[in-house]
Amino acid sequence: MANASPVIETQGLTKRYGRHRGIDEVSFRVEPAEVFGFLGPNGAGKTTTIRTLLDLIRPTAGSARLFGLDSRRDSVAIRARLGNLPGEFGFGRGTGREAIELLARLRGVGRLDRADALADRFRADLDRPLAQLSRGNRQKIGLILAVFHEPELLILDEPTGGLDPLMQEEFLALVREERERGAAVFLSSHELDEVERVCDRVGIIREGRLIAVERVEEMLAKTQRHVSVEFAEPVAADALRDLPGVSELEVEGRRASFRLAGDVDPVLKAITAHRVTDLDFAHPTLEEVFLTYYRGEGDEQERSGTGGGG
Amino acid sequence: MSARSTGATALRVLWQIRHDPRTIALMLVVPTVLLALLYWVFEGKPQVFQQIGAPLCGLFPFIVMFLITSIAMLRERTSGTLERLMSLPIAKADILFGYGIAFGALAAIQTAIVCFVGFVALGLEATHGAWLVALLAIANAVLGMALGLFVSAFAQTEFQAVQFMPAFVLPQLILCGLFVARDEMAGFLQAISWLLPLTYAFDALARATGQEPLDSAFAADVLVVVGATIASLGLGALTLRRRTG
Repeated sequence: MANASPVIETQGLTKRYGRHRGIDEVSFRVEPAEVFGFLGPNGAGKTTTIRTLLDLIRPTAGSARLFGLDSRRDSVAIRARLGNLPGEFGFGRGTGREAIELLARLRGVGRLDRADALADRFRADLDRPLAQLSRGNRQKIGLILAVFHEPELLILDEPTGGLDPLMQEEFLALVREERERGAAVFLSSHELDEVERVCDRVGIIREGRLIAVERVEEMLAKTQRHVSVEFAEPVAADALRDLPGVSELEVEGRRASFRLAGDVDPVLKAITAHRVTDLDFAHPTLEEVFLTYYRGEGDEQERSGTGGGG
Repeated sequence: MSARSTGATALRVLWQIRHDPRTIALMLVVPTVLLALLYWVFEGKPQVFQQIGAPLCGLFPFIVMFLITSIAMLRERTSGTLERLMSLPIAKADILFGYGIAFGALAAIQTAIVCFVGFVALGLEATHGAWLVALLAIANAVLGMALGLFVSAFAQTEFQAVQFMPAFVLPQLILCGLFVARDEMAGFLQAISWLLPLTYAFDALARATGQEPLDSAFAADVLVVVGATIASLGLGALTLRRRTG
């Protein structure tokens, strides 16, 4: 896979709007049949990056290639091969079915069985005007519009917004199936949980700068989680303090809480040496992930350049 | 560009408007009512009605299409529809031509009704044929559409878009020679009127409904209208990307 040509490749992609917003020197690659998560809080530049890839806006500097084609010069050919779900979209007054039929005509797709199957699967209401649907139900139509023509690349901007947990699960299953089919997926999200469950690699963006690109497991290994354990009997703090990756240990009676970075296994083994009555293994928040990378950045001094945001 | 994309875009625009029968009714009825109003206002002065009413048959579609396009496009932008369309494999030219065809078709219907009422029911004269007025009217409609599409990029709300009508269209209407012949205007007004596309649109219509034989001046008018349309569409293409809001 290392030598296969990337589906997306950006180099120093930069878009400035006035002084703030926008993106700064964003460079990454998305490989074939890979789910790439683009993780960042709202306003970090996720949508700006996507709009640049789709040639809806022009970069101030840098370039992007999709399928080896130039994002600006060959935008029509590129868009024929991808499916896209924007964060917000409308189609005027029509129903979901009309929107699907329009896109099928424009994309030259003759058969709508895949769209129908997806509509069944997500219980999407195709017969009501889009404008009357709730955000979640409109999002379902958006998903169908993005994948029904079996594109080689999916670009999904915050795809699970408004979906209920059951549908989110169904959607993540669909993303995995699309990868099985051979499609690459570029998925923006502000939810770590979602990225963790479906993505192979993740790019972390904040204030317009891509601060890390890593395999999801590596990111999780570096990130600190909150662990809280309740034992059947009071446990000596020393038993936990010296374990690898443990910091900020607090012991109160039978309950111990601490932060854990890196390998989970030694700590789990140490804990289960005692009788455990409750265990809470909290997911790191997005903010904690950022802190991890900012700390790393500070230590290594390897990423010079603009001095943060302040 | 492809016929498939252009056609699908045009169909979508017509489909949208089909969902809004009130707008269609207003588009078709209002110009006719206004024309009838002029007829009654100038009841004792048939020459004045001929002078104003006949060219006006060909100017209504310009005004209406400008207004409809500027608001419709603003909506397409702010609702994310335009961006959704532009993230499909469609060239910008397909989107623009799709709109042109759809609005041109609406203009043709509108023109047919106005021209029928004006030239048949109300007795206006089209010396060189009502069909010529109708053709000019459709050309003007497409010009109005192209200008509306361009200015829609600069409106953030529908209120602003509506204001573009008095801002862009009324001055052109006042200066084009419809109310006062241009050679009777002050020199600087005449100079300004030379720069406004509606001046040429009106001049062509006045010649088409006047007594003089059609000469190269008429052809020049038509060329300017077509040129202004192409230029506006070009500007529209440049600003199509603007998201607004």
